Amino acid sequence: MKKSYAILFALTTVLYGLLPYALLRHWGGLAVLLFWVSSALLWIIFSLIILEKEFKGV
Amino acid sequence: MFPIVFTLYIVFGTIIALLSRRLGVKTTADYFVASYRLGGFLASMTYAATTYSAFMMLGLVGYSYATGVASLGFELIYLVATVGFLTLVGPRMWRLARERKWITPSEMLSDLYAWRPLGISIALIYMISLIPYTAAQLKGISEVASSLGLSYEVGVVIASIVLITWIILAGIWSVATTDAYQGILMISSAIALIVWTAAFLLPSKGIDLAKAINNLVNSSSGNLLDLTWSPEFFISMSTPWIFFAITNPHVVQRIYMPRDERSYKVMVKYFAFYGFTYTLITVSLGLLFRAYASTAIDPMIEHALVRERDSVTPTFLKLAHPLIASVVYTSIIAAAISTANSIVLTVASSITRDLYERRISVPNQRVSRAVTTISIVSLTIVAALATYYRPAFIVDLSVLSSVMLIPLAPITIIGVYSKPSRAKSYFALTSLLVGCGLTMALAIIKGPIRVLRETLMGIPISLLILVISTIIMLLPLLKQWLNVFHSKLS
Repeated sequence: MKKSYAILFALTTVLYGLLPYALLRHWGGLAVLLFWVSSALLWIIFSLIILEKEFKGV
Repeated sequence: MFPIVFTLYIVFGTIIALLSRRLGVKTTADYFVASYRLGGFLASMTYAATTYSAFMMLGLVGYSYATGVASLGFELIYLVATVGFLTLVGPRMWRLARERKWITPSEMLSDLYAWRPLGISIALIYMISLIPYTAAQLKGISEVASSLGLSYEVGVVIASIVLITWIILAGIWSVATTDAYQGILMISSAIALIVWTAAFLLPSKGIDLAKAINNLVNSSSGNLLDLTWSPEFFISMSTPWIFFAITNPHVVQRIYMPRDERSYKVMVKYFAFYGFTYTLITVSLGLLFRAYASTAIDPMIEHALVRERDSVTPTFLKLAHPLIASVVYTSIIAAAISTANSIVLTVASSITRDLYERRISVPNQRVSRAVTTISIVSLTIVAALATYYRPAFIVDLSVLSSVMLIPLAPITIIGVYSKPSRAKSYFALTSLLVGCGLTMALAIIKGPIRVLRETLMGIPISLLILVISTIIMLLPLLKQWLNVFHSKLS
């Protein structure tokens, strides 16, 4: 596991959970739902791309 | 209708389990990890069916009905973190497992830290935390059975017999193939229910998308499209689930099984899209039913369901066509059985490996099989008795299981990426004992439910246990850094 990926993973996971809480007043309502769904999908696609690279370095 | 669907489910599942015997089981490695030769599809479906228990269709639907969109974030952060771990830590774990012939996660950790007592301690923690969790799954099955006309006791007996049969027939092969069958049943019944809800239930009361959103925004519980969970509650609930993929042995063991790199990648890909779809459907079911209830159900019942969240799905299914309701009820039982049989097989594998095979130089395969069978039957009977007598501490322990296993997160990550040393293994055992001990102590003082939901000194308790366990694990590294710092100064 590359350190850069690990740091990115930890930061993204924390941001994923807490960003809607930090910015809820400005976003509100459906924006939170759309943020969680779309960023989870992006994260899955991004992870699958990293997985291809990760197997070369195990 | 339900007895017919349920009988068909049992018959087909048993035929699949019987057919899986043809795949050949001779050694312990065959029985527990399919000798590392599981195809991508089977690996992904057993991973998904093991991970997603009856909580999804009962608990999560109820949570989203009562508390709204925050439950989506809670469940999706679990999926995001799991896919992250499977991407970053999983490949190394998969490679090391076949190089060092790991069969159980407790064996993995005792090998990584080169200290057998650590593995035995972890195997004991698995038993303490996961048998009550298995009992909770059996309890769910029995309650579904009793609400549909069978007695609770008959439900316990049927669930236990199915559990033992589907495990013993071919070990992981029968578990993985029946998991695939059950996983398909779970997702297809959820799709059928949401299609019926969107196409028939909501239009029958004139509820379109705009009205559904309006109902959720103006519900009696507040705006359910805003975050109704406090940040502390969100962190408390999410922390154990973020690390689920590396702390729970029945899912860790599944990382060892894919037969090659391609199968591993297929496992992660299929699981990710299965989890994403299943999560969206279950949360949407809760939200859409709440939108329906706001318009079409007696307000007293609507409010009662907010307090009795586990009754949301049964109330919902009373409105559905009997065939859809029966298939969904059967899928809830399937979700519970697929999780419970994986846990029982994994804990039995820890008993066989750590308490018998690794203690003698040349293990006898016949004795191994006997130990395994006795373990599977005994663990299921213990879980069944706990389900039947329903002692309060069993329910408490099943709630605590996810928090109790948190200390295994830093132990696993540091173990996989650092060289073993005796000092590190002592710190690992200390971290484990302090983490589990603190969980138990707080559970006695505050009560188990509050351990999962409350804060201590302003910090969510599950996060606090993770931080303390991690600090203990980092102490040897801190000492190294201080030595380097001192030598540079002098």
